[in-house]
Amino acid sequence: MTLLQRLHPEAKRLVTPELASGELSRWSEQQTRSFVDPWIRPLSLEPAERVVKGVIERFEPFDTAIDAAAAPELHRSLPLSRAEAAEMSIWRFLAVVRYPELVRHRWENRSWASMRARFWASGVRPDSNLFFRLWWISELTRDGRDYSLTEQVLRKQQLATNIFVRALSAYRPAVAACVAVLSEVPAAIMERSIRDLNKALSTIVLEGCSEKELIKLLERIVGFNTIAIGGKAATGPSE
Amino acid sequence: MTRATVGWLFDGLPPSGARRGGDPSEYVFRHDIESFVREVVQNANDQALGWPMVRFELIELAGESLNRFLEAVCWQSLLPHLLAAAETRGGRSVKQALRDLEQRQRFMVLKVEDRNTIGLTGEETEGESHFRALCKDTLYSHKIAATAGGSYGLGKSVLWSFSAFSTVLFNSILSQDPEGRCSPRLIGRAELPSHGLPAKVGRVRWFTGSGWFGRATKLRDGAERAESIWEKEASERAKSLLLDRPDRSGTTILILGFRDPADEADDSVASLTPRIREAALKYFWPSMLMDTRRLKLFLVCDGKENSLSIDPADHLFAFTECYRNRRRPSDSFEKPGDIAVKTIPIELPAAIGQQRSISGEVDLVVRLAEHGPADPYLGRVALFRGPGMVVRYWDRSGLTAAMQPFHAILICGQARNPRLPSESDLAIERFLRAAEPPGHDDWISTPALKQEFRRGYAKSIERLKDQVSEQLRKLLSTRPRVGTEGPDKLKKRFPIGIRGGSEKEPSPFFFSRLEARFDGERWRFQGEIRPASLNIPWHAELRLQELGEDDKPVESVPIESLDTNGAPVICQIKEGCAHITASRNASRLRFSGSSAAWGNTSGILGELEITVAGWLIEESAT
Amino acid sequence: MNARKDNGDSSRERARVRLWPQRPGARRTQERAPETATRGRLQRVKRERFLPYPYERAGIAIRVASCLDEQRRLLAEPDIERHLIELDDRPWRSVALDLCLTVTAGLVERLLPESERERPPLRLLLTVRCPATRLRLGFVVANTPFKPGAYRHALKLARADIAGTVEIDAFLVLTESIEALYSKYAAHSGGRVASSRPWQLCVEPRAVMPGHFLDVRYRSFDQDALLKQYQANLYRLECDQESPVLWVNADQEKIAAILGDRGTVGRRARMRELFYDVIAYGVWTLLFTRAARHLEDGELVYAWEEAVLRELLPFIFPQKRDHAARLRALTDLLRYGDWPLLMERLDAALQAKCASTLHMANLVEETIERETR
Repeated sequence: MTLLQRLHPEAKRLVTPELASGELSRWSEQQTRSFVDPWIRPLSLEPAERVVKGVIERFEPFDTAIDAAAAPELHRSLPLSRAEAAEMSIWRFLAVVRYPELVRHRWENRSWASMRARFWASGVRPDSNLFFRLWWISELTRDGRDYSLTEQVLRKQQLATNIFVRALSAYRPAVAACVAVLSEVPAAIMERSIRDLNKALSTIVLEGCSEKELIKLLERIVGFNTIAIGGKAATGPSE
Repeated sequence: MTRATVGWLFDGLPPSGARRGGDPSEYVFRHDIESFVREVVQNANDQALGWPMVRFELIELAGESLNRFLEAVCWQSLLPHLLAAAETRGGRSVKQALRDLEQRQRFMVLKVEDRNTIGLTGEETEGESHFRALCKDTLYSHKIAATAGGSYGLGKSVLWSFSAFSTVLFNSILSQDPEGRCSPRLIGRAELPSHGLPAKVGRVRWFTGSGWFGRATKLRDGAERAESIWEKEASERAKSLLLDRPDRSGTTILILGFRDPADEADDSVASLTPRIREAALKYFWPSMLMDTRRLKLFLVCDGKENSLSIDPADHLFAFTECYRNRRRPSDSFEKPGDIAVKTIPIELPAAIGQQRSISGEVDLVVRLAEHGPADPYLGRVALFRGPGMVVRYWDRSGLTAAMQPFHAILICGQARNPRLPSESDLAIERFLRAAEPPGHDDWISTPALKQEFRRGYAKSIERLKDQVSEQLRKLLSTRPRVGTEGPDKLKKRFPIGIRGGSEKEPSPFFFSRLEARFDGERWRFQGEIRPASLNIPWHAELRLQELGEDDKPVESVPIESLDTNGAPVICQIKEGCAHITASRNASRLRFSGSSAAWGNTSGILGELEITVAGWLIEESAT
Repeated sequence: MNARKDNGDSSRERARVRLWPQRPGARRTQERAPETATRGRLQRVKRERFLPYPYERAGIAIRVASCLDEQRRLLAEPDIERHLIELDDRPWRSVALDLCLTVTAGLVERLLPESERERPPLRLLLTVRCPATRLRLGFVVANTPFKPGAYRHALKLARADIAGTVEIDAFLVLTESIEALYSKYAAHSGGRVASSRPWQLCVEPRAVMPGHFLDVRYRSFDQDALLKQYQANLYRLECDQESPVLWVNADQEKIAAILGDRGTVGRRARMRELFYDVIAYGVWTLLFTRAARHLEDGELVYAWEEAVLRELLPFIFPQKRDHAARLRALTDLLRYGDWPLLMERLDAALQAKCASTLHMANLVEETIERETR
């Protein structure tokens, strides 16, 4: 049985252009042995393995739809607490040692810096460790076992990018409000409105706001921005 | 017999006329406070009947108490012998002591009392007895048990060498009185160099140097000797001789003119008392801890009796912890205080007259220590066997260049399991006892080993020591753990992190009184810039930005106006940013300004950040 | 002025704990010049933040009455001085904090115009933020119409939900927009008008601040696929990255043990200093040449290169009075391609910096001279 393991920080050297391009499919067990440690408890990777295989089978390489489909499945397959999932070493193990093929399948190797980050960097931005990003976006947006918000937000890549580069994404009502108000607005207005929401939150306590209040605030911001940007930039809804 | 017949009697020279200059045993091993304490405590330990107790009391006699004591000890009958001995080559220290007594009119006695021991049993001269061994014989040991600490009969010589007058008194309650006698038993013994006293006119009568204090008794051949005083008379005399003791078997020894022959510089009570304490604890903590012995040590200090013990602040505490935890090693062996136990096999040659060689084990207990202040015992292994006396603190600190600091004990022979020693433990006990030289301060190849064991005994000792060293090496060699951080001290050689850089330069600018407010239409701000030193032209930039919740700038807020209150500076506003260039004369600049009117389309006003940056301008750059 | 003085009622704000985990590279430094700055030597940058209306920082008091685990055993004594609760490392499943939040009547008066003081449109909020687990929680402690006074709040956090440091803060927020001048009062609904001095709950023992020094680590060169070729070496520096790592060969047991010695006196300590000198000499040379090469190519690539130059240039150009002058001197040397001269100066600089002569003399004194005494 394959178990979840930890990857030492010094294993960053294993993230090489060859691994990112697929020239090196995977590091051998011998090559990675000295960089990995058992995790705090045995956690089987079999469910996660099925998810990875399934995604690679079902989706064409670089299909942006992978995120919305894979995130909830991956989250279900890795039953971790938030405290456990805060440990970067497990996500690096998954991306660098166990399933580098999923990283390559999802992201085209256009920039070495971005690809390196998708194996190694923490965060929920698009240029972050793929497993970390998908698991955490699911965690931040799920409502118990209901992942509909996760799927909605990840189906809108540009919207997701704009939300998850900001701290407000850790507050589910804020993500829900953004999805509710901004999913269908033109990209320029969406971007500007999230930026303005972020600015508004410099004087407002986000944790004191309900989803309804945030929707109201966002609608007002979108209203202003629609007038300001007008039809010229608002060519269509974001992706 | 009357009391008048009690006094000092010295043996005359033997028919050969051979004389002696002193006690030969003094030259065999060191006579310092440590060896003195080792010998007297070990003697009590060897003679223990139950749980032994040893009590030390230093008494300084002067004035009336001195006179009373000298009278009780029949000083007038001893003094001519002391004076005569003082004139011999071996009597220098006696001469010095007599001179000191005359000048200072005071001297020190040490009273060593043991309880729950056998006492000075035995007839006056017949048979083997403790009495004879201590009070009569020279270089003669009566200790039979293999576990005994002493074995040569040399140890007792310390009693006389620590007496400035080479004179010692004994009072003993015997565990078994000889027929027709009743304890206590009192006797004294002087061990002076051979000396002569004037006899008839023009004649000198010579004496061997050994003299006894006791009842003068005429023998059949007409000769006279001093014999033990017994019962009531002994008890009464003991009081005036400071030798009184509780009615429990054991012996009280009084050393007249006690001093440290190795260090006579400071022989005060204040100096000697702590040294006795240290030595007693240093060598007998195992005996104090062993279930079967439970040796108790007392020291009288300023008239108060103190029980000796080792507290956690004491350097010896580490060894006692080793012993206490010899069956409970720590789960890990990484940090100070962790304990590891290793059993070391030992092969001994067969005893003479036997066929089988002996296979046994000894226990090495190692405790990690702190890299702390000077600890004289750091890196030492305390070696001991059944009697619970540390034979040696073996220095293994320099075993390898890279070792963790430690304390260790090597438990051998009967000390491994004092209640139920195995056959091999007892054999090892016998072997190691024979391996101790007269000072009982090491395990080496000795004549006793040669007498008792077949060939190979020297190799056995060597192998044991080698194995101890090897185990220590294995346990204590500091191996860095792979993947762990490197040494901090090495890291600190390279202060190059994000927040690194040790080069601290004082700030050449002071920015103060920064304020900003929103008046409903625009931001208004003010502040002060002051260069730390004059005569250097400088340049400053001011910019305003609105922040997001995550502290990152969201949008620039263009500055529209800046007022420098007539200061000799040039102000420019470029792309919403204010630039101030000051000549060398501008020492302090107060500024105020405002942003462009708020025209934010979203109607959202965020938190504002003011950034002020300052540069000194190089002459060449202007 | 609507930004009142700093005695607790200023709109000015000091840095708070970051809401969001950030990558090291994303951190804004206080030393970097605004992009338009082009002339002279940058000497100092100062930033301050202001809310657009009066704001009462630390206006609300939070007292932590107790900190217990799920079995109501004391987990930690709150450090009132530092507003810090450091939980020990024994296992626990949840932490229960008994909090007391106090808002004075005077504070409410300062925050609201008279017309609003009868039924203050304020809400007292408690926030819990854990950057490591991206946890953001809000609890309404007292709602509108708000009454000043002391409020108890029992806060319970599961171990599974928190990691690193958790920040606990309190805010007063407006629950409705009010008629007021920006210059005097906050007016918009939702606006925060006062906060507390936050408490920090350290879930795990806090690690030493990283990033001050070079990362030095032990590794078995023999066991490492990449380092195996250097297994006869004592160390290997990897510096073509954001955070250089100095690998020390753990297989060189005897030497590594001396490197790890912690004593301050004696032969080993003397020996260790000399070993450090040997390593330091090599490592500084590698770090410096890498930084200098990048500078020669146009600009420094990694943040550590600046730190290396700041550390070494005072030794290489002791006559120059500040860093900018030293940097110019270095650039001039590089422009003329005078590497031999540069290396000569570096050698002299490192000998002085490492103080090897002193350490050698100390070792001689500790060994040979002591033996012959």
